[in-house]
Amino acid sequence: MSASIHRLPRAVALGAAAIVSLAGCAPLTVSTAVERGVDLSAYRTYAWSTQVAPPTGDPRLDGNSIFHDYLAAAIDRRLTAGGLEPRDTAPDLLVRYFAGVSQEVFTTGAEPDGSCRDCRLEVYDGGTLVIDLVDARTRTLVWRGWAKGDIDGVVDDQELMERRIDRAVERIFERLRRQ
Amino acid sequence: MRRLFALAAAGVLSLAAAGCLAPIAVGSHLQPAADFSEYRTFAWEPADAQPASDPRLERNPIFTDHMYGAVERQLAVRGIEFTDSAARADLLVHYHTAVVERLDVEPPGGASSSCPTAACGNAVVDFEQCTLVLDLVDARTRQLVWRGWSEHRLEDLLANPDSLARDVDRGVAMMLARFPRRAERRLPGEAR
Repeated sequence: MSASIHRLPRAVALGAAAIVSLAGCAPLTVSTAVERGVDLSAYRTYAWSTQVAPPTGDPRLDGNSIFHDYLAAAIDRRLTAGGLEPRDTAPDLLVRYFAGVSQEVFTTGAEPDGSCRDCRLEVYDGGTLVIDLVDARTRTLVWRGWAKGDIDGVVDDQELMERRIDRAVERIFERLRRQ
Repeated sequence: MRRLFALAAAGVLSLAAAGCLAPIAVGSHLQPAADFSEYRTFAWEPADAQPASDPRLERNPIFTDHMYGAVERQLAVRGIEFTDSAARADLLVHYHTAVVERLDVEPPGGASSSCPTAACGNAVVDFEQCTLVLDLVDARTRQLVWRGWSEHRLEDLLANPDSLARDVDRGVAMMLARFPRRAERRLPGEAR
């Protein structure tokens, strides 16, 4: 899906993404932060950081190269589509990511005044993906993008997981292009 | 509760609902570039160094015997025979177990609640979840080509030797039921 949307004009792609989320996709919170004074357009090349990714907190994903390779390839696609070129020697940027899974608890039905009618507690698996761009020369973090969402039942279904990775990475890098 | 619904949707609670078998969730990932029709033999390799296992399982011969036995039976059914020579094996197989503390919600007036009516709301309960992870590695490329897992409540597994043996067998059979059938390569976009 992401590949075909990518070829569409940007307004159409955003419209399509909005329709997808109305159609019942789990909500995804996306945000980014850019180091003050940094001109991201000055960076042309990147390489993967050799820093070892910390554990995900999920035994299904730790040491799972099928998952990590898919995620890294999805990030590669978005970086090159954004005009950055992979380069092993003397890259401008180093890229690293962190993927984590942790359970979240929330209360449904709570009123703003603190009262509670038909309140229920719910538990779900929350997934977080953080992508960092580090200046290769100064070794400082220049840009961080992250996405957080409900991933209940996602890891067990590889195809669904791959679609959710594509969507999260796409949404994160949409914000990079605007910065 | 949503997690339990997810399990039910996956069709794994059908027997548990009858009160006889503990719920088990399973899943798997496969390397799409791997040609599964090439694999005829496998050998065991030592479990990889993943943290947070549990000595009540790892030092339990009933668990390890059933884990090895169940995997050997289920792979043989799929045309992949055990060999004791790692040099001749097409696949190197290892497993590991991980135990993590998890939360679940129970309905109002649930088992651990002191409140008998729905007016009290529901409660969050914690439990130890045990994940059995099975990795199949291409012996030539050393690349992980398939990973399957089954998730159990540790208290169900450790309830007695019979439930341990039965649930390890069930977990392995359920995860390997997702293994690609010979000569059936997955096409892009095809459900697995």
